[in-house]
Amino acid sequence: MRYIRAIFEEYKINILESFSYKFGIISDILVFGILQVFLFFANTGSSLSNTYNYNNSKELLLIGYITWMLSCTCISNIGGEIKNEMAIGTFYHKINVAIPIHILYIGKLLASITMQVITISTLIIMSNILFGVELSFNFYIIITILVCMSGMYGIGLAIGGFAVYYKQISSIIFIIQLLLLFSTDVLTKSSMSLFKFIPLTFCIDLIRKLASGVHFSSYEYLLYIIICFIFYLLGVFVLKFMIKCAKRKGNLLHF
Amino acid sequence: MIKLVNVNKKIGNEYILKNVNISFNNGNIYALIGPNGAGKTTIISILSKLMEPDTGDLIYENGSKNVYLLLSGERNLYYKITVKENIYYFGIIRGLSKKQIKNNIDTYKVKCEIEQLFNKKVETLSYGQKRIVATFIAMVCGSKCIILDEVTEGLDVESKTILSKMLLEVKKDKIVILVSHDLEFIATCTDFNVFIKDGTIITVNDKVDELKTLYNQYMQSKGELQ
Repeated sequence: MRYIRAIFEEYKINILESFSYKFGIISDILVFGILQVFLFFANTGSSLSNTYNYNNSKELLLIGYITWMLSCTCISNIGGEIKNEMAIGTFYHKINVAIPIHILYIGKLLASITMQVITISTLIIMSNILFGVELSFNFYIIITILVCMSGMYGIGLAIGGFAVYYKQISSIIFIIQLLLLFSTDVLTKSSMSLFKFIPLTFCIDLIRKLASGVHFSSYEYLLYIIICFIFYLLGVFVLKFMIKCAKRKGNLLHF
Repeated sequence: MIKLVNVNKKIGNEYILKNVNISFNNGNIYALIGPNGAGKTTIISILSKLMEPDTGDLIYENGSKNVYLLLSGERNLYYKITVKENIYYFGIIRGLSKKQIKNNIDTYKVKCEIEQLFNKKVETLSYGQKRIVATFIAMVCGSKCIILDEVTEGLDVESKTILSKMLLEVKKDKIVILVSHDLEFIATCTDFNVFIKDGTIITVNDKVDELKTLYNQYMQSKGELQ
């Protein structure tokens, strides 16, 4: 109960803070919207129709693009926020409380997802008006995306861990976001098996299969859950390890 | 009580703390005094578990493990939300219920002259008010030990007076540790003063005048060397 109360409080203050930066929401809609329009005009992802044997490639592209946006949120908002909180001094309070920081930050993750849902809803409406793309989410697609978020949250925690030790990580976050866009099958289906084991790649493949009615085995879905869980655990481990290293080196407060 | 026993800390090739032994007891205000680079921040970082000593022990007794460190300057708070929201947030993440926080607020609010700030956003407060709010949060969040770094830095006389009153109120059931160069402020509220130089504790006493002499002697010897 104490954990839930703390997560809710973390969620609440992050939502209140996000709404006080209204231009942030508008700029997100503009940046992601312009990129999406560009991708649609460039006919990116047209090969997805063949891969999934489904007529509407734009729908498959959009669903992957949305999942990438949510993954970016997990990475930049969690990794970046740890850095910001070190700068304003609130991070040091959080690592000394009874609630583990990776649990407390779930509130921050949920707040970031809530804010991103506003942007995503705008993009879906815009896609429908401009390109006639009708996107429908069913329960299984939403659950699959949420499982993916847990894995990507792990990556965000790991990046936050590096921020704790190395302090400056903004450019790394940017590179990782770009790398994910081009390597995790957001735009087209690649054959590089190495990237298949990133939660985002696996998730995009599964939700496109769900959207287009392609069959996949329960073994495949189980493997996906395990991979996401491993990424989450790795993130928690890296964050804790880097905090410990910073405490030993004595540079935790050097921000 | 919190104890540092034979604590050593080396950063890079330099020993920042050398065989530090000291106890901090409930009901007292301690001031850590010393020139820049003496090791004050290292001691408070170790006490608040933000740094690990290379050797030696950190012993907490009677639930004093719950340490609240207030960093210097305008940090420690969320700016876009109100003072009240900050108070409840920090209380809840430290495991207190809303009822417990409310009781703690009621205990301290009158003496701290802070109630009029509760519904203001932190970003609208002055520097001194932010420091007072941050200290108030440390008081009501159930911590057994409060550490304040550069406690009076940038504060005017009025804010210093309020802060001194707050610390005297809060020390009744807590350990309070201050880091400061402001000997006049220290004389108004501390019970014990710890003089640190080159990573070693030189003396612990309750006489600020003695410390002033020590401090001046140190500064003079430094001047002569230069």
